[in-house]
Amino acid sequence: MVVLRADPWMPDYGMGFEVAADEPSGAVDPFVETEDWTTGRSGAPRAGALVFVDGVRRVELRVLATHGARRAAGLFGSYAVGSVWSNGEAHFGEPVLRRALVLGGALQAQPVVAGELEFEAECEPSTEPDAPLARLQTLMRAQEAELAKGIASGPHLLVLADGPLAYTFYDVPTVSPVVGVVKRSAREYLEPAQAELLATLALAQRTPVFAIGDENARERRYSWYVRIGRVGPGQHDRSALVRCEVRAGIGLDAAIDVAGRVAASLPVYAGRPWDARTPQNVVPIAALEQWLRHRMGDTRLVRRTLMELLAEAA
Amino acid sequence: MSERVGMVIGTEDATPLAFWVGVAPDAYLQLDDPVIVETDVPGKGIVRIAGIVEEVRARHEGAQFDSDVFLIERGVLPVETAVAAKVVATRFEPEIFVPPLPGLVARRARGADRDLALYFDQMTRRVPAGLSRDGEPVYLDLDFLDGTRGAHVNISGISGVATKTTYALFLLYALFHSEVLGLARANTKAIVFNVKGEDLLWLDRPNSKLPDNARADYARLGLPVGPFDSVALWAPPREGSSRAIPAVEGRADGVHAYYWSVKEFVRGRFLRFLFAESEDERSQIADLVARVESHLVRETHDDPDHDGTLLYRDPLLQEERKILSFDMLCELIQGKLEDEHSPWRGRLSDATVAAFQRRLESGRFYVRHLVWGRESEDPAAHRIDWDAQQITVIDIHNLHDRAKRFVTGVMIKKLFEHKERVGSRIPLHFLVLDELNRYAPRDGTSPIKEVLLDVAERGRSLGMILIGAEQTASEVERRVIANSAFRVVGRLDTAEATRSEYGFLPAVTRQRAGILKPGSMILQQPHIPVPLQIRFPFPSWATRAEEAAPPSADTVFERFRAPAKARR
Repeated sequence: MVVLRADPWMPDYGMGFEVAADEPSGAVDPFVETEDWTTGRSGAPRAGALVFVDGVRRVELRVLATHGARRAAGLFGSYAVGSVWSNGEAHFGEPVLRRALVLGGALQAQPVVAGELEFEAECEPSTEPDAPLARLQTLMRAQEAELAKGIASGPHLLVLADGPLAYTFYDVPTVSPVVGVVKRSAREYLEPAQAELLATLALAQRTPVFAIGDENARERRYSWYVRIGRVGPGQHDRSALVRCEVRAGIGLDAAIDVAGRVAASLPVYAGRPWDARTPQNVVPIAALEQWLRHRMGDTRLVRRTLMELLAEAA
Repeated sequence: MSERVGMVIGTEDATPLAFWVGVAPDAYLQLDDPVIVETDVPGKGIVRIAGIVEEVRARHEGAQFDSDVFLIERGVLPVETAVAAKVVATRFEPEIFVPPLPGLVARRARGADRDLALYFDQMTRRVPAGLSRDGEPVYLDLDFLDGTRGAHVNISGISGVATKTTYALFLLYALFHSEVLGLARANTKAIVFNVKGEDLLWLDRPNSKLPDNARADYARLGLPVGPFDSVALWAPPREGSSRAIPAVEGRADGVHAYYWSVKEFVRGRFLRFLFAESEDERSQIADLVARVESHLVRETHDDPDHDGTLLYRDPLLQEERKILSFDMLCELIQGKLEDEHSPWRGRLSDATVAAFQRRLESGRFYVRHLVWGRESEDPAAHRIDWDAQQITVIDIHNLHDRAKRFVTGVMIKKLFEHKERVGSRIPLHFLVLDELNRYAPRDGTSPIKEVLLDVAERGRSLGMILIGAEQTASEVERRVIANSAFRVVGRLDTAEATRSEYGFLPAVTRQRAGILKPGSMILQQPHIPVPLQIRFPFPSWATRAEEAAPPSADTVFERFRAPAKARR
């Protein structure tokens, strides 16, 4: 008989293309920390600030670019990245706000100044209709990584970056560890024998650390799952789980240490029950995204400014 | 001078009448702070908009739910705290009614800017009226008090908490002990009725319990610290005593007993104030009172043997009798009315006459000790002379209600007639009267109410200024209140504060009126479009026997103690 269990996320979330695309692939070694996958593990929090890093992006206006006979889709987009520092009290770090004109089909774009808005030019070789959007996402992710790295150059921090680790982290050591926190794992990394543990993890417990990617590979990383919220009645047993990862370069012992700290600290920040992506969308991230969207300005005004600009140019 | 405190915000509508100022994190604005914003009007130049803070709010921006505050406290949810103050505009210079634009710098008005915001720069003669909440002096415009452009003060508030009389006296103190009255100061007089306890019988003594910080308050207001300079204290004589000894408990010296002679009673037509119940005026009794008064005036003559008594001569019967006492006067009236054919009765019905007689009998009992005949040795010495000293306190607190009405009615009428006769506004006469609702009630008419209405409506030109007080303005004759240039409100009952009489108070201020502390008042004056909360300094004159006690006893002991300590 087929058993049905509810997913607590709102239906609009969790099935985006970016989720699967960003997640690393490669051989999985579940036994780097231990061979015992029967019980969950706990950790202890440590002094020092937790820094959450995240970004948001928005398409302001889609355009169709023509150059002679060539045509390609493009867009005016905005993206912003920022941080939340939490150490007894929470505050926002300095945000970065950028805007870009992305043109597909390898059409050369020029930077655009519309009123007080400055759009950098980005050239995207692909002609796929969604390619400019994917490029905007990449730009945002790169900016996130940049910010996270800058923050992680300070000591005694634990930097929690939203989403899988960006490739720029793979071989760059940082003073404080940077942890990628994946709200929803689309890939299945564990064999059924180990995956059984996921269903039984209690609140603030984690799985043993496992490795993704070949040994000595540049993109190899250590990963683990943490349960940051309780599973509600009728919900499936993978709800309230996040997957975390750190670059393997920090060493296994350090990775295990970080895994324990994250398992102990993160549940405190679990998203509120009414959040559309509860509980994985942790409170600081939700607040940061709202705050950053606000910083990007009113999309109606941005759009109007661009429309006026294009009308004048026509 | 004025320091930057924030900016006009654009998330709330800015209008010419009210706008919100975002308060900078390193600054603050509190209720009643004066604020000034300069806005550039195309083609007109800079317009200075001044206003008063009416409301201040603080909120977490980014928090959506009430429970978020707990997450914020634990450092889970990052938010920003925003403080904004609502400013009610009081003045535009020049008068172009535009809203200040969002993003403009708002400053806390100090010095000349503050004078502009509160119109103090337009007051040529300023009377210290108290201190604002930030400790700066607040003034009222003498032009609106002395009859030049307006007159009268009305004070409302709950008894005991609102300190209405104390504030009235503070105003008098400020008038009499500052230079604002100029040359007219010495001749300006005030009559104060003492209606509660013996509180006002110590005005001429310094307050030994004056806290030190109150001295600074007086200094800031430019006032000396001390008692009233020139005070006359009057109390009714003890009942049943053949000598005029003032009926006061706490004070043995310096209080004079007051009474009127039978002659004054008749000639001054005081009889009507024995019939001062409000319902009397509606009935025909008032007609009868007037008839009796004029018969008495016409048919009595000076007694050659005594200055305070009269001879009665009946025009028809040619009988002559001496009226040697108030009782004899009452008996004469009763006798005249008993006679069915007496011209005193006129065509009034038996029922009216009977009602008159009943009231005279009961009233006479309560005022008997206030009207003296042959037993009076020196009537002039016991006649209240309001011009002898600057402040004349008339104690009525122990009198029966009818006697209170009699005394106040007689005094106000006499003063009013005096002012009418003199015919000049200057020197001013102030009249402080608490419990206005008793003397000038909203419903009905009475002789006192008539006189008070005269004062309210004509006192301005006659230089007779009423400082009236009551618990509830809603129970006082509208015209008395409407003629007051200054409205002062102390602690108000919340239900009372919603009445239309307090329509000049904005909603926020009404709420504040319910939590005012003693010593705090809300002052509305013609110049300033919003009422201001003020506090006035602790009285530097004694208000109780304990405060009047000479402090020397303590200091004497201190002198003994100091060397004792040194020896040890």
